[in-house]
Amino acid sequence: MNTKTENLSLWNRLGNLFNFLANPSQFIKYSAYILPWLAIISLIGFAAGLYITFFNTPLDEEMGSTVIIMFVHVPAAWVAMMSYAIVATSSIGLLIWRHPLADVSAKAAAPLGATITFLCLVTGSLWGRPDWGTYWQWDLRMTSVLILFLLFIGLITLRSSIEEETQAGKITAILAIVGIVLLPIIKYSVEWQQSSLHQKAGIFEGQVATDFLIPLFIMAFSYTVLFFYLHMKAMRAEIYRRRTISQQRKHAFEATRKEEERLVKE
Amino acid sequence: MSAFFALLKRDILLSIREGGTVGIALGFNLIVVTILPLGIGPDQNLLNQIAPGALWVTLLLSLLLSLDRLFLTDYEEGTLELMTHSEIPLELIVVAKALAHWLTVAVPLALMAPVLGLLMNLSPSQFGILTLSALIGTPALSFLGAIGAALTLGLKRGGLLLPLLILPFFIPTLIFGVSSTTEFLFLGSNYANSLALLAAISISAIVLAPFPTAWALRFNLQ
Amino acid sequence: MLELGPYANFIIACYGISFITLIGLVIWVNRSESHHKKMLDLFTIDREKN
Repeated sequence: MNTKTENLSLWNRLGNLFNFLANPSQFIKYSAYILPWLAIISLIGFAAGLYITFFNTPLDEEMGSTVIIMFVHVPAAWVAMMSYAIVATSSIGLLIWRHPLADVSAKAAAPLGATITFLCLVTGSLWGRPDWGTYWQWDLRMTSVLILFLLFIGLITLRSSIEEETQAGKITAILAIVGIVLLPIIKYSVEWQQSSLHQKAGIFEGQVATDFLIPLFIMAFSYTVLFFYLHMKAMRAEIYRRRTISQQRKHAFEATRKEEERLVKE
Repeated sequence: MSAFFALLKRDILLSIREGGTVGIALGFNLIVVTILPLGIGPDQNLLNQIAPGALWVTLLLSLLLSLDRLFLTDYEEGTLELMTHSEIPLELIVVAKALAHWLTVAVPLALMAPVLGLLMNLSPSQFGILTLSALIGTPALSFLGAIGAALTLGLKRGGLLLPLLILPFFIPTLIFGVSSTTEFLFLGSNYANSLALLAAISISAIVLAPFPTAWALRFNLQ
Repeated sequence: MLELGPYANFIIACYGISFITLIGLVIWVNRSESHHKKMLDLFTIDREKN
């Protein structure tokens, strides 16, 4: 019994780490300070990245100029995976610690993640045509990004088809958690099925020239910062929306109560 | 444990006496495999080559048709609510229901595979592997499908939403099922590996899937 | 300035689609934030009036 309560308190303390984030009013207050900085940093980052891309990149002799598509394609892939990770962590936060902001975060991240996953698919396919001679190839990475996109679509449609909002949040969170457990298995099975056309994990193994790494990382960094900007803004919008709804409910409730009081007096 | 078997027996009997579900699944499977060669053209070699993939895909789709009924009747009648108050945990109830679904829908579909193989120009010596791989692979489909059925329980368009949510999770089973069949039929290579992986997926699904399913059911019953 | 070479169309399409979509997302989140803020203000003021 004793150990159980101790465990529980440890568990709660772990949850309390996120308390400073969990209060919507605090979030609105602090995010107002952070947002302009995120905007400025990502703007400067993109400007620098684009400058290096178009004025300072030595060409890869093997791949030709199309290699610069990498600077918008690879960051999109990274941010797409990160956004699913954010949805899944928020879902765990919602179901285990019941943080009110966790659901807001999961809801805000899903459409953004879906859009960026779509961008990754489109740029990948446009890169594939000149380099492999085909727009689409059923290889490991393209297939798993497509499946990631389908998961995002599933999350968004499931949430939108459940009317009661707290219910929708919880049910969608379960799907997100199941998804993050099954994604590696799906990826493994696709990998097992076919050998890949992609250069395997080229970026960290020195296959990509260091000249390309600098613009790639600058673009990836700006992309990530931009995602946090978008996510924070979308979360603020969602918080305002929920407050409006609760105001409306209070309003309606008070109106009914007054009406009842009036009737009782009569 | 006896409560578990009583529940299993009840669900199997209900499904057999109602009859509709398995009939629809079998009929759907047959009609899709019938119109497939009509769409592709009667080239025997081509049909033979695509047979494993085509049969597995139609199997997934036919199984999906029956999944949304998994908890729905009991949910609408309020039986499910009553069951949550019984002494067996909800997870075990989920296992009983998914197992009953597997026995009454997936097993008949697997046993039907030879007939469909005939339509796809496979020779009788090749039928065994179709049924075997389907029998080993389909438990994963019933148990993973139960997650989707629980998530979409009580939604107006739940039956339409279910395939979108669940089909991505069927991909590993599809891949290993098709590859074990193909390896046996055409490559003559060692198909035991893919069958073992198929079994591994089914076993993990049986062990793990009841937890999120019961979780979702509890939220839906609140 | 980088020579885009024979596949210039593909490169321009990639950068074009990416940045137009990202800018679109920025506009969308900002509009939806200000819209919901406006709605909230409207309702809070409404309530205080009564």
